Amino acid sequence: MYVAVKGGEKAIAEAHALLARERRGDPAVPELSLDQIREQLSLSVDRVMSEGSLYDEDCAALAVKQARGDLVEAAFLLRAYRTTLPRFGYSLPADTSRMHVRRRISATFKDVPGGQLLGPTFDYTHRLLDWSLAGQSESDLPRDAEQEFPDPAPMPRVLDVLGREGIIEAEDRGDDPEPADLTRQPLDLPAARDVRLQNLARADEGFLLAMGYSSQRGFGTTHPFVGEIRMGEVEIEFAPEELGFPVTIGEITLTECETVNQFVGSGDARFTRGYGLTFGQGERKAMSMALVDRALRAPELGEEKKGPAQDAEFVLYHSDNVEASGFVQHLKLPHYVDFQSELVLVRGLRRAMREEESGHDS
Amino acid sequence: MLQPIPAGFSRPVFESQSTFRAVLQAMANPGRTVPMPVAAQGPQGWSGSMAALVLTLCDMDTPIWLDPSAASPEALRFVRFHCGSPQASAPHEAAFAVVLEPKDMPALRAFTPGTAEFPERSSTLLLWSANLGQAGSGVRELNIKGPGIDGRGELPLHWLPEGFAEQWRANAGLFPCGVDVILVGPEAVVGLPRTVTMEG
Amino acid sequence: MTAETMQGYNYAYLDEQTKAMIRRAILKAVAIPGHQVPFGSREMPLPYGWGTGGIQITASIIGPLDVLKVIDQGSDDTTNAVSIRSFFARTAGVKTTTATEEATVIQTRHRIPEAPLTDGQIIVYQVPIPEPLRFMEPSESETRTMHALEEYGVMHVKLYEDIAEHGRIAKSYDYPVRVQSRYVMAPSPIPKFDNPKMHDSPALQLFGAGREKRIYAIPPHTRVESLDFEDHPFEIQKWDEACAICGARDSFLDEILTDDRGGRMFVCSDSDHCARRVREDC
Repeated sequence: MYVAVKGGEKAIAEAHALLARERRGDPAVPELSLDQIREQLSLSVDRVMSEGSLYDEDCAALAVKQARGDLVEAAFLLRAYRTTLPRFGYSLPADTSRMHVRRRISATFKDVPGGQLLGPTFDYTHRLLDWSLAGQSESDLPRDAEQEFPDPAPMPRVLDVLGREGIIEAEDRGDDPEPADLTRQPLDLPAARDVRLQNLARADEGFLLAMGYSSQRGFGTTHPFVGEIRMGEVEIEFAPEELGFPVTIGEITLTECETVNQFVGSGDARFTRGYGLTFGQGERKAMSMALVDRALRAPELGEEKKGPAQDAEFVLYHSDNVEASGFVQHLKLPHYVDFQSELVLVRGLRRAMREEESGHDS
Repeated sequence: MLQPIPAGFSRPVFESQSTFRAVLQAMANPGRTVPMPVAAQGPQGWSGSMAALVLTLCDMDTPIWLDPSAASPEALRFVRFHCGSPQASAPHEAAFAVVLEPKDMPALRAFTPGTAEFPERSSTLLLWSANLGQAGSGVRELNIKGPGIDGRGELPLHWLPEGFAEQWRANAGLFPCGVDVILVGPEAVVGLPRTVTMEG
Repeated sequence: MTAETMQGYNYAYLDEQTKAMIRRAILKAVAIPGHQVPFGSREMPLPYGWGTGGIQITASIIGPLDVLKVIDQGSDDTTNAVSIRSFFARTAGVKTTTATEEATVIQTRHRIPEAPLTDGQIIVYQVPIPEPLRFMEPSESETRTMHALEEYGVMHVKLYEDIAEHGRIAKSYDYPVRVQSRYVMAPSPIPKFDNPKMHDSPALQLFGAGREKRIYAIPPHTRVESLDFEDHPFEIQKWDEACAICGARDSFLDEILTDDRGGRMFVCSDSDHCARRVREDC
């Protein structure tokens, strides 16, 4: 007797129950709290906020927990939540020159006004497993480093210093038109830089990393210097129409990377720029984003397109991991109607070939 | 002093849904008279049907153009408060246009027909038709054809402004560009998407 | 309204502004049959590629008076169909059915029901790749221009190459159609068996591609022709077998492997159609 291989609500409910048990793991082990995730897996939280396009550490921590640590799944949870939120308006542009900097480095100058500040970075750690973290005790916690750097004064951006010399391309500030918003209007090509940057800011970190890397290896040409990376807290201002003046609504952590790239022109030669920005501490992504941003400017700067990182349509249509993950994984949905159609076709082709051959034989 | 604003829908979620379904049915079946399920409280001079359509279709993303008889201060407040739509300064900037005085209607070609790549970026006219739904005796009927019409349909000439059919032929000739028209009667709507051809 | 819906979310999940945006796109799609209208597709609580375009359309049109049917591969009880149906039962409190003729809205993935659709019904297709020219021309800006100029030579070349190589057009699903002699359109991955049902249908057909952010439509009674050549006319699939459950010879059949020695049987893909035939003892 044929029994259709079909799911039904019972199977789905059972799958959800199994998933919940797997998520919890061994109940003898204490359950993770959102505070623990937010405080101790903060880079996961930051990545999920960036790719989920929503700055909310508690929601992101919940998403990480619910997704069993699958950060792409967590970003998806956050995005699906984000779309249901009412939209009050747009904040004013965040001014990163007024950042309360916790990390700030430049690879282009040995010293810069405001100084270099290493901050909390993996950069010079030796990647040796630290067995002391495997234990329970945290008695050896280093002293609070912040005391050494009491609230540094606002620092000018390194590229602004170059800008005053006119040796790097000018960046319009202040009089830009209202930027587009990809969460409301679909991508339209050719895409202006504001649209591209928004797309890249929401993009999958792994995708950007590979694209940026490919542009360094000759698939596209970027010769970047890291002008500056800064990470810290920035105030967000909002100007409600009924008030008519801006009010600070909070503070968020941002990582910003500005690259100085190969020059254009000769007599009036000047360097060009790439730009990357992420929520939280996301240096790898901010740097990759700056590389890809610069690579995507090839047509505007009259450069030959030589690699996928320079192809806006290729990059922008494939950068989003919520879209990509959904479409790749939809292949596990039933396709037996389509496959049956192909079976009928291929069998028909083979039969036609056999008939033709036996026709020749007789 | 606070100016009164007409209330609009009493249950916006459900009333905009049922209004939309009426419009969808009208646009999918051109020439068919589709009853409007709700009458919204609109500005003086607007029918409840017209108010319901504007509340359903317009928001801050849709520039709206109101003809002089529609554009009372009360109507401007109504549109700004409920829809947040920017006022189009000229018909060709309008996503939606409300025409309450058909005999003074701007030419169809004054509105935007979209582009070859984006023909959907075209104006939709909400055109008041006081006679809509009335049969009248010995009235002339236009023959209409096109997608959504099973074979051939008929449209009473007196539902349309004078000279509309000639203008419409030019509009239909722009396909896939062109403007779309929704005839708005006191209690019903008729859809005239750009695909409709008129004869007779 | 008495419809009981999910706490903390708007009726039918989407916020009203999003619905209005999608409704406008649907109206323009209906006015330009076969033309893909870009829309500001939202993230949904189901993954992209799993029907988010169809779900957004359904959420924007559905109301308390509707009766919803959801099918995947022709069947009402495949897991994804069950999941989408329960999504709307939860968020829109809508009545659901498996009977094609009872439904006012039918959301489908990859099939058109065997029972003829009727005036007033709306069928919503889930679409993965809305651009019929995409596999010949990967660039969106190029294909947009080709549609604008009605420049479909590349499609005919592709189909003709098939005939040269295989003696026939080697496309068995998502078989391209021409709508009202203007736009070439992807019917979504329905088997070409279903293509003739699109022509002159009394129902309104809406297509939603969430990830690709496109909506398109075929109004009722619209000319829908499957592309072909005079010497190679369009043909649909045929089976030598009949449905093993209801005996139907005129429905689309799924093949079931019954053992690992080549044993197989064929049953209707449209489970509602099959069950009805069994009930009516045809």
